[in-house]
Amino acid sequence: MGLLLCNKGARHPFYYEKLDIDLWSIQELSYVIFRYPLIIPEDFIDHKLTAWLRDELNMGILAAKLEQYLSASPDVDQERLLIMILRESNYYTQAEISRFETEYNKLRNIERYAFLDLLGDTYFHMGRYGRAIESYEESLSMQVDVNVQMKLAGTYVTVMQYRKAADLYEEVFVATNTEEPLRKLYFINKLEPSVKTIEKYVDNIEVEKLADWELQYNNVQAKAEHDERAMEIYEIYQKSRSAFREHAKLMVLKWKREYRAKI
Amino acid sequence: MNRYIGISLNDDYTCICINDKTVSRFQPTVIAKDKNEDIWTIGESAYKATLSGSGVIVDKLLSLLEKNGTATISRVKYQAVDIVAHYFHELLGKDSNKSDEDIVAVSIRKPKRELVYKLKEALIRAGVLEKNIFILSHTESFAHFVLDQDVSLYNRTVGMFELNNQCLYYYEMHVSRGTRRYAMVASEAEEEAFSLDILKTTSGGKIADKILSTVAERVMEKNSYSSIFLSGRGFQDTNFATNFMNYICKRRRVLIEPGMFAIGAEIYVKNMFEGKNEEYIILCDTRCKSDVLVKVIVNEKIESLPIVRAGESWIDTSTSYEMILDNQDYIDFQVTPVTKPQRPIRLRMMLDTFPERDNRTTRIRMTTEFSEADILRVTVKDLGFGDIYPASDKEIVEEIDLSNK
Repeated sequence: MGLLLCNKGARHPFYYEKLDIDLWSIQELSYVIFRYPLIIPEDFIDHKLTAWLRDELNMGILAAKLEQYLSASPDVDQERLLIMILRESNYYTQAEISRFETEYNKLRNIERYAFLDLLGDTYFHMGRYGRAIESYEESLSMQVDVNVQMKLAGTYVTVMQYRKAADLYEEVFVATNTEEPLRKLYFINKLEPSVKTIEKYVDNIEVEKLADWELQYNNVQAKAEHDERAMEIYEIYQKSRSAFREHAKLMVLKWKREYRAKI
Repeated sequence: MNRYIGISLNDDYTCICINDKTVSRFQPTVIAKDKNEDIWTIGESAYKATLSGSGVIVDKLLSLLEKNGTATISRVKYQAVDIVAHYFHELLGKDSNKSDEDIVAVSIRKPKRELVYKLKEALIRAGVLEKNIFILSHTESFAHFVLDQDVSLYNRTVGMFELNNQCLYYYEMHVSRGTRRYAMVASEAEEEAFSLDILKTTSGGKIADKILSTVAERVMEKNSYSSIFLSGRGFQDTNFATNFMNYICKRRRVLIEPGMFAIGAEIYVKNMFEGKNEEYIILCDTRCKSDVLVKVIVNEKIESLPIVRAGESWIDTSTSYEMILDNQDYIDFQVTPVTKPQRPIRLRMMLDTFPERDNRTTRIRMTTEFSEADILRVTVKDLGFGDIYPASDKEIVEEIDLSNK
């Protein structure tokens, strides 16, 4: 607890391609290393990064140390370099860095399909749904796993690809005969009535269960209607139609942009 | 060779001291411009040029600068800062000393931020390098002057009377030789100020003597003084003030130096450029009286980040730091007055109106500067966390009053 003293940020950012974001400080660099170790490429620490540390963040000593390791051997152990960056950042505690070290080592020794599954999770939590789908699909191509299938189907729903999601849920239901895929199919039908996969199975579902799902759906919908953003739009509509049309144009543009960013 | 220059400036007179702390000279603060040519004269020469009809005079230059005024001479409108720049140019004789580097300290009564900036601008235009310009108050100049004297003159309270036209001030200085050595200096205007013209007659001199004696009895009371100083044009000749002199000379030493502020300013810049550290922390109207710090974490260790150091000039004191909030939505400032080091005060600035984010993903920029003496303005801006958590650009501004701490 306290105030972590920082150096001034960079005037020019470091572009981190894997996340498609610009990094402006050593703390942001440490944050992405610590939070997303799965997506760190093998050649992440290179001369471009060390030049940025030296020229933009005025961290010449750290840059020199990293360069020393890089030039010492072509098969440099990247973990060591990542730890050096974390230690110099005045952002994570030594205990947290030790935990990171353990986790990072674990990740390097897991099976490829499991690694891809975790990578999919990482991308999903970062909101990079397109990349999450790629990772889950690649994982499934190596080994079929219903959990990964469920996650992939959920990701399809998030990007509104209901047909693909329904096919996957159905596949999981056939394989496992569990309730959850059916519940998801029921909701997909609510969201996109043209996807009628649930109709094949609805006769076998108890009436109470259907009523419960209906209630769940209605509750979520009611909550969404009273969401801050929805209320804001409603108020604009009530005040002036022309203002609403102007606002709607901007909102649609914003939503389009958000959707494109997701995939 | 460097020229160390101390200038005491007011609307009536300018006193200047160059390189020699035993010599100072007075001249009226006026400037005249020739009606036909770009020739400027100052002081008595300006009066002469005006009387001969060749020049147009401008006076009350400091007030003109403070009000951001203008003066029109031969159909040309001059900004106050232009005129004061010409005044300094002539005063410093810049043309004839091109090879010299001038280090200039200007002493004025109340250095407000705006006025200080304008004076600096005028001096830069007059050819002085920015790094060589210093503005201080008369109170501070008094402190530099006294601290340059023999220690026996300031081992107890030091008093000073300043007498100029319509201006009577009393100054007092106390020196502490504890763990932190400091000199506390203050001044106050006395209501009984009078025109120096009354000294031209015997009866007027008697009235002046009476006034000064009354003021001295009131302000000095039963205090124990190691010395009393007299300054200002009014004390260039003290023959009129027999009773006053008798009173202040009782069991104490009295020193008269009419050009004290200019000399004090010259001593200040000379000591600074010759690398002499101030033996005492000076606490006065142009210097900070407290240490202010913020506790920060560096490599998991708590460290003190100095924001203000007692004895620094408040006009030149400003800081800018960037920090990340780690499970904390406030900044604690620790204020320690030099005079009460055993009682540091903690002041908390809340930042709870900034957007809520994951821990350690709110970066802030804290900037501090004094808006006026003893009022420290703190501005904290939310910088977000790069592109990961964009900045809200929200700002929280608070002022810390250090005067009563």
